Amino acid sequence: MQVPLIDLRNIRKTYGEDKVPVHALRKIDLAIKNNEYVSIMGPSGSGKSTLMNIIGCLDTPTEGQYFLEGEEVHTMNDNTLARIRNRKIGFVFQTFNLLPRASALHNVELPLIYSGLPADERKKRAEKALEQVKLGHRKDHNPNELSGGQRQRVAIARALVNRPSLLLADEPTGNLDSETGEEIMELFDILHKKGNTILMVTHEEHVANHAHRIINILDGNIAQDRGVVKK
Amino acid sequence: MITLLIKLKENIIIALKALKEHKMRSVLTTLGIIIGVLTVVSVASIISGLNEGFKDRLSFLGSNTLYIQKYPWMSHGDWYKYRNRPDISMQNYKYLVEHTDDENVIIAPSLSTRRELKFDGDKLTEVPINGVTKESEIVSNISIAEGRFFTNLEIDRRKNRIVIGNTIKEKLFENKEPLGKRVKINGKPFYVIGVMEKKGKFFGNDMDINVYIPIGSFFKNFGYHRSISIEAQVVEQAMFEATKEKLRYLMRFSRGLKPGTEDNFSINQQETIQQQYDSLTNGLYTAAIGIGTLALLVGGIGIMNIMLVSVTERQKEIGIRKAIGATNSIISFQFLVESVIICSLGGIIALILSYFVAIGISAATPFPASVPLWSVFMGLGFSWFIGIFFGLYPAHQAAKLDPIESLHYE
Ligand SMILES: Nc1ncnc2c1ncn2[C@@H]1O[C@H](COP(=O)(O)OP(=O)(O)O)[C@@H](O)[C@H]1O
Ligand SMILES: [Mg+2]
Repeated sequence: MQVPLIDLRNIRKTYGEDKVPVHALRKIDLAIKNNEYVSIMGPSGSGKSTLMNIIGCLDTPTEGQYFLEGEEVHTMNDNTLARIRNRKIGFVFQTFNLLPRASALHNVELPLIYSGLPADERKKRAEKALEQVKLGHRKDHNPNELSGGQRQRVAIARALVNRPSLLLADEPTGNLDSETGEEIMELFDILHKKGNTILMVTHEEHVANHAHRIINILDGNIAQDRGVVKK
Repeated sequence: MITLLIKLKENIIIALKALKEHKMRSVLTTLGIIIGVLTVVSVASIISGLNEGFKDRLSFLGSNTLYIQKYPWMSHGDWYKYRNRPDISMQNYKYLVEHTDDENVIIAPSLSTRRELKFDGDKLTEVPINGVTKESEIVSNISIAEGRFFTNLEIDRRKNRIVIGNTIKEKLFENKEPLGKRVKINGKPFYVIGVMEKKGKFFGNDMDINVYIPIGSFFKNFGYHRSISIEAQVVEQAMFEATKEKLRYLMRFSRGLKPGTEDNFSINQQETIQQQYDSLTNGLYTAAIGIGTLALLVGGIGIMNIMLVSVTERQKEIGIRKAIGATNSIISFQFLVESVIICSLGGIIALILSYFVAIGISAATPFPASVPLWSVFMGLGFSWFIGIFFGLYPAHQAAKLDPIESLHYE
């Protein structure tokens, strides 16, 4: 049997344990295989972002085990985690999280800087990634000179530039109008076809339906986990 | 190694960008560094200028020459005691000459005064007139450019002959031939027999304004009742201390001093001045390093403070960088580089300023101040050290920020 890409066992996350504890995740067991395309849905405050951050190695669970490609994340040191965030995972945020005073190109180059690529190769790859999201002509613009959809595409280019196998997106279309959102989703579909594993959080049914599997979270628990019937 | 260099370059670019965004703040922050480095480098350049002038001046005195005089060069008060000493006389001089061997030590008397020098209606005031003997040519290092020095006969017969410095030739004779001309001092005529080689300026004093006349002529024209100075040049450096002791003994003996009593004369030498000078410059250095260190410390704390502000301001940026793979050490490196760059900026500004300080000092005083290369490195070294030392804590604070909290920071 193939080792799942993501394997969460009994994950619990509690904020503010000593005062008024907030149980963001109660007991999550979840396995995601390579090249799955998964949507996570659920009401606001149900724990979706918390789950994504744990999967993205940005946050640590209060309890439980997380195996990424069979290796337990808990046992890894800060440097290894940074390396995983750099190479294995591409993270797309709802609020884009671009460096405001850097050009689109520099933003996309950033992960490559941290993997130590020489400048010329870095530039080539970053330019290619920007062309992939159809922003080659805007590479010298700063984020404040770009529209919301363009910013999100820069963020996607940044998430993809280091060719990670896992793409995590927390409400990638949440701040975009539906037309722009649909463009982003087309991009995701292509990425999935190319072999990426995609995990995305969304509120919108039609966005979620791009995926092949939809997980519903309610109050820190997985309420439903179903496949999508494609027409 | 290569990736480290890439990261260093990126970090320098990041740091420069951050500095550009906060120009005023950066300059103000570096003020302490500027003052600190400026103090240390300026004092170093002043002292190196002093050293330059001083070395020249001292070489004039001759490192193997002893000066037997009524007053010590360096004294600690008690001037009254020295004033009551008997004058150094020509008898003392003659006694020393008779009881020493000129293969070991060359002895010359010397005395000087300032008088008006006239030629053909023109005049120069306050000209240093020196009374000399044949030996002075060696002991006082007199080189003749035109004409000749005195003969023994001229000295013995107390002739009114004169050897002049180059400046006298230029100013009084307007560079016309001075040899054989008659100048007047105190209304007495002196015949010019020689012109000295140009010596230049030392400590702002023109060394070519001096004139020399036979010592006997000096006494005859300007009076006998004055204390002379006896200059003794030791031929073998190795015999310096022994010769000094011998001269002391002869002086004491000729003056009939009883054993156990103090000398009633002083034997001066270059070293005395050197020692005094060294202790002065060391004092200056210590003060400069004290003030400099204090300013650098204040500057360093300023840097630390501004870097901590910068870490807070850029917490979101730190979160983003960590989220896409920056390690803790890269983040701390980034802030350390920024701190070092701010400090280097201060150091460079200080070095430029100290260059102008040196130019100013050279123009306003007779001391040839300059910025020595080692003080440039020292200034940069200090600023780097401060940058690293006071940047470590903020850099550490930045590195240990939680990625997810930082991402949510607004
Ligand atoms: N840093 C935090 N400190 C305290 N509580 C938090 C923190 N982050 C999230 N929470 C709480 O955890 C719960 C889940 O939050 P989140 O995962 O952001 O939900 P979602 O993304 O589904 O809207 C919420 O009740 C939220 O208030
Ligand atoms: Mg959320």
